[in-house]
Amino acid sequence: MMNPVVTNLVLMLVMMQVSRRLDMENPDVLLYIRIGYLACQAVAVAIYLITRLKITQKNDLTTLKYVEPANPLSGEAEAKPVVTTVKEYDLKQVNQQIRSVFTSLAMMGFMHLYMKYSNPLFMQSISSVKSALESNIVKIHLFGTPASGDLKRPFKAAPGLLAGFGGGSQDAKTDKQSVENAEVSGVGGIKED
Amino acid sequence: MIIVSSTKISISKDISNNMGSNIIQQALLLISKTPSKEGAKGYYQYTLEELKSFTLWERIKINDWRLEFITLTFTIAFVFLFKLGDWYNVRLVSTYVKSLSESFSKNFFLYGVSQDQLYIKDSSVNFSSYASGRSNIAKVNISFKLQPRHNVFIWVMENLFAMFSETVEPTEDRVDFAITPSYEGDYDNFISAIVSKLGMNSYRRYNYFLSLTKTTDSDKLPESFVFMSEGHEFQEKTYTDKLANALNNEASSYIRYIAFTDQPIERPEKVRECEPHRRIFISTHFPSNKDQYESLNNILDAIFSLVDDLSSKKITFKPEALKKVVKTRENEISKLTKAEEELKQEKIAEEKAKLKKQERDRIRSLSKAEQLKLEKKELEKKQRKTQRKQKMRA
Repeated sequence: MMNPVVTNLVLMLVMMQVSRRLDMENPDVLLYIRIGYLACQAVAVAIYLITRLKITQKNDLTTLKYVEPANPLSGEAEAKPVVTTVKEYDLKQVNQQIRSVFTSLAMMGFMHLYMKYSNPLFMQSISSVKSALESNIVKIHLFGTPASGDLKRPFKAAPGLLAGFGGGSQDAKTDKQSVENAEVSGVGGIKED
Repeated sequence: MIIVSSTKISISKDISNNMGSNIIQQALLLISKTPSKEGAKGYYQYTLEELKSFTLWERIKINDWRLEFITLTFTIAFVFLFKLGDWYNVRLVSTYVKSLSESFSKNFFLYGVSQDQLYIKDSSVNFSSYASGRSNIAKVNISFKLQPRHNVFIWVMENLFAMFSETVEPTEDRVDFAITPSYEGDYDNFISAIVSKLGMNSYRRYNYFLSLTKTTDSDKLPESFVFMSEGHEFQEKTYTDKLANALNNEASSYIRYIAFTDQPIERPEKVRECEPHRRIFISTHFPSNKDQYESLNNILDAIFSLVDDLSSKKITFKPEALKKVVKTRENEISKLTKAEEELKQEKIAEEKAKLKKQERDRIRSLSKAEQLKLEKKELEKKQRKTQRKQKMRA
């Protein structure tokens, strides 16, 4: 398997070359681009839905414990202990992915329909399917890759833009000591409205 | 269009009463862009003389009632759906309450809010019931919280939002039992719970007492449950054979948790709120069939007799385990006192700053000569201080 960052870059360059040769003003071409984009999004969602189905079928109730680091951006002061099951964790991951497809769909809708850009529509079409196939959760459940090494739950946070500034890792902690300490720290009991 | 019609209105007096709805009608027409039925004349196309010659019924007939029909249909539909959702919620609750009367009427003198009423409906989503009159148990409060099925808009919106955002959680149907043991039957403080694995993280998030416990899997439990307790000792001894027999793997779909605790549900903010208050919380969803109700009855039975065992000291705990519990409580209290202390210090510092500022303002308001005098005094004071220091050193 090649590094997804590298393949993404290659894909982007190729798509850029292709898009240069396309006449975006031509309504026929535009129609095909639109259909292609929507089809790709549909495929991506379908992949996630199949994964979802597999997760519910497997119904893996193994207990999973980890400590989520505090997120100062959303005003959390304390690290959050999480006690969950593999099934629930996986479902959460896959739902997050599905949600992100819809968010990008909304963004694209705005860019394309309101601001009349067609280029990003073309560039984004294949990459959503690609990222669906490359996501951890799909790898585990569709391709049967064992959930160890890089795919060990909880998944490592993708190196984001803020990771460099934040200092210290934003990854969840799983070592026995910190889990045990956080677990009994009494941070629960937030008010339900 | 509106301007034209309003000039017409000004001609005839009796039409102007209708102006409000007329504007809405015109707007509706503008939106739909379909003029009233082809061929047929609209109300305002008739001249005053023509209208005068009609009978009342004829005039009603020529008016355009579409907007009224739409409004009426929606209102009726909404009322109907409201009643339907409300009826469904009531049915859920009454089935639940009736199905549990097997266990409750066996155990309690009074089950229900009065002799002939099993529950009270507070609203379409909130119901409550009560049981009392049993040795070792002072009372049982049962509260129901259901999905807002009566209000279709909110119900649909809630579920839709939950699909697209993590922060919105849809309301779940739930029933909470709070069993308060009687004061005579005094047993030790501890937290121990049997929790369904489906959604256990959120139970820990919303229940302070659960977030003080350690989660452990056990071979004794059905695999869809875990123990959350303050010690091995507590979970083993409170998991009686009777309870084990009643609990099966399927039960995790309707049982949320069964918890023994002396600490509150909401996280305490004052030391006073940490005061131990022994209770047994049982939280469930609605069972979906008779068999499930049957085992829920058995589970409740097992819990009631477990309270007897605790109160009669048939179940006791090792002092080491209890010591650990006390330590956890002290730890939590010291966290609170520390926070309170910090808050106090902050307040004192704030007050000091305020006083200083007042003093400065006072000096500033004095005349120039007086200000100079004060400055001189200060300076002398300082000098004397340094001199004294030098003397001491010398």
